[in-house]
Amino acid sequence: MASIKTALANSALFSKLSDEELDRVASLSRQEVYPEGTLLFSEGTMASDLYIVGAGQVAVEMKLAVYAGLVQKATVEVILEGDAFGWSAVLGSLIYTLSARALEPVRVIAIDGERLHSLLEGNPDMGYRVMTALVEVVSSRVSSIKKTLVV
Amino acid sequence: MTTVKEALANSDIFKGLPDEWLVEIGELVEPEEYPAKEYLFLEGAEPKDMYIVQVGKVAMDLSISPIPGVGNQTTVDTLTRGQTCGWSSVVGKPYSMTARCVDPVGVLAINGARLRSLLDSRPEMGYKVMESMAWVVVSRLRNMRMATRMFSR
Repeated sequence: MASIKTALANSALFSKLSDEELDRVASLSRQEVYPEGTLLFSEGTMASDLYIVGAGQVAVEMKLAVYAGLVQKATVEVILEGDAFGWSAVLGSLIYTLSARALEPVRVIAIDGERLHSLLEGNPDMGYRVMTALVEVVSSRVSSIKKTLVV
Repeated sequence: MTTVKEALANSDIFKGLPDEWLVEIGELVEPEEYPAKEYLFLEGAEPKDMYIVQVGKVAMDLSISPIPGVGNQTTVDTLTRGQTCGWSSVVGKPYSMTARCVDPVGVLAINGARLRSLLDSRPEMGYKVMESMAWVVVSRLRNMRMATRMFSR
């Protein structure tokens, strides 16, 4: 439990929460360990959990139609320690729009998306800080995408 | 004639909010018009306003050169009525893309810092607005990934 709370406190999404608020998020969370290559969730499936990387790296993948009839999987982002993925789960979306795969042995914090959503809705002051952090995180990913572009 | 309140109620960011909140937010709104080819803001510029498109189309351009504003641009999204751009101004970050008017454009401009102050002082409103914004930003990021994929390795 202590390491879950530490991982949450060190994440961009939850770093603005108080000690007591972190406890409440931690109570909805579980720590999971996966070997390299594990598919944590798949594009198009029910979005149940929001994840924070505790250790290791996770690739977020997207199916792309290269042209009609040919669909390829492409890595759109590598998620590092402290970063979140699986946002659909906390935004009230029913399905994941991307897939996530462990690039190496990983330790992740999985947070029940529905319960987290209720917690934030019931505590808007806390919800506001988490959603603001989420907007900041996503905005900053625009710059990381730019780095992958070929000039 | 659409009122500011109605326009906000039909926007991606403020839809679903109670009428009295829309009235408060409406007090921060300045309707503005721009000719075709004008820029609402440039990538890398210090943020000022967030814009909700009312008339015309706004292209979101991303530079595919290491130096912002120099070299090739690629359009990653095109916004129409009810869609928002320039949310960087609300979180106080430089604009991450350039917003270019494709047609003569009408927008509702909202000062980002003033909106942020209002949201900071009203957590319930703040939560609802930031939740919608997170939703819009996440789906916009997805469009952008699809649009830029052809250039990436």
